[in-house]
Amino acid sequence: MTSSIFWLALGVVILVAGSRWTEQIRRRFPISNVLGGGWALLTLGIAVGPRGAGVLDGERLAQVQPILLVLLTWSGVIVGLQCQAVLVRAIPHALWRWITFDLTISLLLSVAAAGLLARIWQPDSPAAAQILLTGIIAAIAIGWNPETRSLGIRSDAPAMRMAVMVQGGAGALAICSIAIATLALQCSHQNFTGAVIFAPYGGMVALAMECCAVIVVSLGAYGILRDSREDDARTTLIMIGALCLLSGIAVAFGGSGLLTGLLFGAMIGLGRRRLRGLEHLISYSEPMVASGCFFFAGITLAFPGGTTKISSVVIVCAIALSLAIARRVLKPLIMNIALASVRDSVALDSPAARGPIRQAPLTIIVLLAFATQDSSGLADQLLGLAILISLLSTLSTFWPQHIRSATK
Amino acid sequence: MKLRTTNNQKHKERPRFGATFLAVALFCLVGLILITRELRKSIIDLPQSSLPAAGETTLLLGVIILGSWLSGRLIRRIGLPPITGQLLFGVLVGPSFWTWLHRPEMSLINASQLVSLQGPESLAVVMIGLVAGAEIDWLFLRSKLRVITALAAGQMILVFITVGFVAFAFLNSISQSVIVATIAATSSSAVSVALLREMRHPTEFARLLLATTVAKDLFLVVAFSVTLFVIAATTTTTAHQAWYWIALHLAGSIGVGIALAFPLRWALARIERRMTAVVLVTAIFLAILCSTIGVAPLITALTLGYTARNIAPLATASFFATARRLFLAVCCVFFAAAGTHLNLAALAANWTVVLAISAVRFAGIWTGVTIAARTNGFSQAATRWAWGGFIPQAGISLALAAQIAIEFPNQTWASSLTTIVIACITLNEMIGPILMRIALGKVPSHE
Repeated sequence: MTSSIFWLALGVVILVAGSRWTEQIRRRFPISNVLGGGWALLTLGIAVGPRGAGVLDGERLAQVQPILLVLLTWSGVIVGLQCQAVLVRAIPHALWRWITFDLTISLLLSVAAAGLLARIWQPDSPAAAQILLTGIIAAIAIGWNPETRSLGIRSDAPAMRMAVMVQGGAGALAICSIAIATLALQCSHQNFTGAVIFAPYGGMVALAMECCAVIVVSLGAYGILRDSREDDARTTLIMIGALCLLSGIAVAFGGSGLLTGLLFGAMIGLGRRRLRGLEHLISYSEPMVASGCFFFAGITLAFPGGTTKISSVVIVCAIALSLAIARRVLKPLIMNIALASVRDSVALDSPAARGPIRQAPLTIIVLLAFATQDSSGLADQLLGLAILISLLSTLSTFWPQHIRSATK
Repeated sequence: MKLRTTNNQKHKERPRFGATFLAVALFCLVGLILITRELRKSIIDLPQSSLPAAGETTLLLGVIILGSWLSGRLIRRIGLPPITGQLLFGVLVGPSFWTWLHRPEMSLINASQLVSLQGPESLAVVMIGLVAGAEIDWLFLRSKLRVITALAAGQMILVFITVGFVAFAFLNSISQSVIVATIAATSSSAVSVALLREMRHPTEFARLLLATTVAKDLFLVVAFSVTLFVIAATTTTTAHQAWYWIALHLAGSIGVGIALAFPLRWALARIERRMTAVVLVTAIFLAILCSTIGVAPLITALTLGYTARNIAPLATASFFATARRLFLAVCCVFFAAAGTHLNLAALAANWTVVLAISAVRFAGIWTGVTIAARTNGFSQAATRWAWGGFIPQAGISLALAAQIAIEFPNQTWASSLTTIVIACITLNEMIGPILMRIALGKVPSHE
């Protein structure tokens, strides 16, 4: 009966999230971008998860795990579908420069941050754990939120160009983020005693076989989807089937589904023919996938250090705040340096230019994928930290702007 | 000019996927799973992930959805309905067929793995119920009430009498013969709605077959419950279970379905986005609710679909359109899973009695439906072929068969009777969709 009540509650949340009333509120108040979207479901996830009321716990949680695997794969497909030949060719030099700068600096800072975090959290951790941690922190640091509309709309050409660059950069860096995180996850795994082992050979062999399997599935799915442009039902069927299959293949080879989804999406996206039925399905299902991932993130996350000690709460909040401030300072700096040569054609002072400050929602999904494979609890704690950073970085895009407007 | 038009028509009518493509894709799919499993075990010694069960479930679900769809398409190339292909795929990958051949290690899905597919299966039953209920329009039902009653009554009476006599000849027990005869009179709403949805524009004849099947099955569930109650009261001390079963499975199922239709209408009038999520959450909620309070999911979903569609056709239009979009995947899961459960060993062991009962059932349906159709002014084609729509058996028939063993535990006759009944259903499940597809194809769309 508890399960029925849970599904009823979830239905009510979806009803509220999809209703006209919520849409009106979202259009009227910009703050609802922080509270809206997947955040309501994240709260529900915390409430019903093992650390909340415990409605979804143990056996019941195991029963809904396949849904989580499919959602992770689906997220990978959404990111991978951005690899369209036309889009890749259209990326300007300035954007390539920006992507390279962001990637390099984030990776360098991640190595330092991983060393620091490993020393604070697990002082005796081996090198393998640090490599894994570097990959995960890099996935958190790289990229930004692609959404720019909530920051304010300016319709002049340079501002529009800036918005497109922010979206394009976020898409490309999302691919890098998934690739780095999954490589780190694939090459280092926990053994039966719980210790992290660095096994690049086995990881690469598994990855190669995973890629071969994905290529076979992608070619078959592309062959069928190519002729199903108008057929909604068939596109849905092939997608559901392929997502389930890819999730299973990923787990069989020790992966998470994000990479298999990414490769599948990229192969479909790079095909010569545009699959409009699939594009429609993906754009239609995107909010649902994001909401589902946020819900599972709510179930999974753990507050680092626990919530019983006030001192540890303060320390964790301070770490999250400092990382959010680091984003607030570094991301605009990287942007200004990378785009200095095109300053005249791109509006660096437009609202969209504040987009890179916000942490990418994909970070939460990458950490969720890590959490499915990690039994030490570190991933759950990193997820909690990432959600805090995400909230703080989103808030930081509004706050100084409002102060500046008030001063003027 | 004429030649070009003909060429264009040929080009348009050309099937999009050749049989070779479908066969190669199916072969690759099954090969992929076998290779993946083998490599996972032997070549790379990866540690056990924390999600092996969840990963196995999604892998099997993917194989079932894609494999049964490909098999359905492949079998369609030789003029048979896709459902037959989906059932055959289920038979070939399931444990029953390979156990019968004494090679259980060859099956792609073993008996323990089938358990992990119970969740998707029950979800598919609910979705089929919702779509089937939504296909029945109250105005259509009212205008065709006399015809539906005649079609249902005609075949039920004849099947009950003829199958009852034949079963008595083999089983030598009145109570067992009555049970077999009652189950033999049921048909499959799932097959009817699947074949109806397969048609681009469902004809009035197809809708009539579906409405008759649903009405007949609802009546037979009551009749079966009463039969079991009477037999249980006279033979065992567990009569209260039969009462409980009647009350919950029918009144409860219908009551819950009607009661849920009103909040659903209220919700759908206020929702405009994320309809796929709403449909899925509704189906999951309904499946869990039915298993928790012990009502029949198919009847509850059928009633919910019918009531919601008829009390608020506009508000629920988007909901049911989304459910129909997901229906193809649902059918693939349902019929492939049904295929994995087909008991071929029972069919082979009891082939004489199964063949006799099925032949008499066939004759009973043919006679009853033909008489009813002729007296109600059906066209010549419809009169000749209407019987084909009532041969298939699946979900409800299997649920009733399973109820025999539940009602009479530790009784030898109950388990052997269940085996015979399931074997009969297996045969009808395999040949029924083919006959129904022929019937739908033979009757012109305007009739």
